[in-house]
Amino acid sequence: MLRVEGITRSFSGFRALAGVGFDAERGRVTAVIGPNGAGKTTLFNVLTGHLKPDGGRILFQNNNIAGAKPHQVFRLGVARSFQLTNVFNRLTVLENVQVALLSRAGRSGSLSRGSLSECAARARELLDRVGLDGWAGQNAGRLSYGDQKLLEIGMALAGRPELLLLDEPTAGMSPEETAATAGLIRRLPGEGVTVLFTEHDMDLVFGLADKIVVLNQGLCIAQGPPDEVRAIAAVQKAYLGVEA
Amino acid sequence: MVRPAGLFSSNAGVTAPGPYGGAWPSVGAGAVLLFLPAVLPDYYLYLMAGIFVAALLAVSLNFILGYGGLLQLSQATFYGAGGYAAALVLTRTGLPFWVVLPAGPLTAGVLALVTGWFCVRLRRLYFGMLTLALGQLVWALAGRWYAFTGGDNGISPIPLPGFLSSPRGGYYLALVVMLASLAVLYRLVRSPFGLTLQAIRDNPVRAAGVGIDVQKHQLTAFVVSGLFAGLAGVLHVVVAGSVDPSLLDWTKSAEVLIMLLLGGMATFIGPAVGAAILVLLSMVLGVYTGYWLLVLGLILVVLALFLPQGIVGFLEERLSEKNPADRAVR
Repeated sequence: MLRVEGITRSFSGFRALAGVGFDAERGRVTAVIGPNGAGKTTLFNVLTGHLKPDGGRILFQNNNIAGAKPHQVFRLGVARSFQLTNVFNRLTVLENVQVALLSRAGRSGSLSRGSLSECAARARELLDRVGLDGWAGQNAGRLSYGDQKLLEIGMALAGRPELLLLDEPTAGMSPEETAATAGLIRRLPGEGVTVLFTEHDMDLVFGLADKIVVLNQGLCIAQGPPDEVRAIAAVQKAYLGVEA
Repeated sequence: MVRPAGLFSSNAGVTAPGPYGGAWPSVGAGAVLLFLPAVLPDYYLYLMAGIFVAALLAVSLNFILGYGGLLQLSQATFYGAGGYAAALVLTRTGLPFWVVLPAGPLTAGVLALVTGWFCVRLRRLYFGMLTLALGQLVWALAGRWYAFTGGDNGISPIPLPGFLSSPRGGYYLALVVMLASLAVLYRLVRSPFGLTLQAIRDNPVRAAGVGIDVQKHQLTAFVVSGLFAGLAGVLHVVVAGSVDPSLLDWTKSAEVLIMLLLGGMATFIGPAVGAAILVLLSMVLGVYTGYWLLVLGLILVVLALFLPQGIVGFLEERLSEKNPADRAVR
């Protein structure tokens, strides 16, 4: 599904990504972990075209998408949520999802009100799926932090993505919101969505992921099933001591 | 605060028909405007037509600034381009008026496409600075090229077809074109195109993240805005009968910006209200005396201190403050 090969990216001399390579398999949940500054968010930004890599290849369904623009990557079926909440503050919750749906349908430039009402039902369905159906008419900027993150996932799902990237989906969430989000992520593979996520909450990572990729200083230092990685991680006691 | 249940009342959770209680008030206002020439003396018709022109110009700027979030600091460039195009076609060719009417917005639209292509690559203030710089370039060109544009003298008088040479003719053309343009712009704002534009305003990075080609969308909106500013420029020619470089000047752009701030950018109709107030004020104060810029400055200070959301924005806030479920009208 996704194969990342030798991705590098520097910021004025600092090598944030120093040749990262790993795979994410179709229909699986893959977690990317690593200490702060390991390059997780940079990696996500490169994967979705928000940053251009200096080198390396990103094969999504055997097409190299390295260097493609964000809107092109989205249209190919790769959607994401952001670590810092990123919604359209002054639009309603429903409109936030509608904008994403219209974009996916190639109708962002449409002048007909009809296309808006056509996608309203589907938008409500998606809000229902992320548990925000009660907030459809509310301004997105007024939602709680956790709800904004859920809305972001809803917007990402509006793209009918085959691959969904979630950057710290539960950061700042209450325990209830975290549990709800975990439930949502767990259901996604069954709906045909492959998930790649970063997270600091190790209970969540080991509870959700089929595969774990460990980043450190811009390199992938381990990848495999949770049990294997835990065993490797045990060897690297210093590192796990910080994280777990 | 207690407020009476009137046109503006709505219950929490129930979708109100619109910010001004449906279509009937606007139909009523339209009817009044239609019959005003029967009772008003020519001077006031001229003044009203000036308000229509300014209203269209202000709403065209709000389309790109309030809804598009792009800091257009030089809207007068497209206003002037439309005016000059109409003036040149009228004075130098024998083409009929129905060719002149589209020539203005077309010229302004092409100019917006060319300048916008560069501008949308920049963000926020840098975008604004480039619009200003390119606008001043056009202004300098119009002011110096005596053989073509008449230089500082501008072009005057401009021959108008018979049906437009009376104040009443100008009034009706300005009214009809302004209302039709506002209707089109309103539809645009409420369309998927407009919603997407507002999404980009709120968060360009996220917009790209849901598959929107941000620069292309912004450029399209920039051209649409320039087109309608150009149309306002044609109306100016019809109403005033002359053009000169002050149409393109940055102080004119600043005046339009103040109309937006005065009326409020969060509402569709706010800028038109701001335009009306400013035009009336300029008349009361003796039409563009040397003190006009001083007056504009004072207005700006008062707005910044007491009415940051503009007059219409302020009224709407007061009217909906009892109703937390209401959202800001876009």
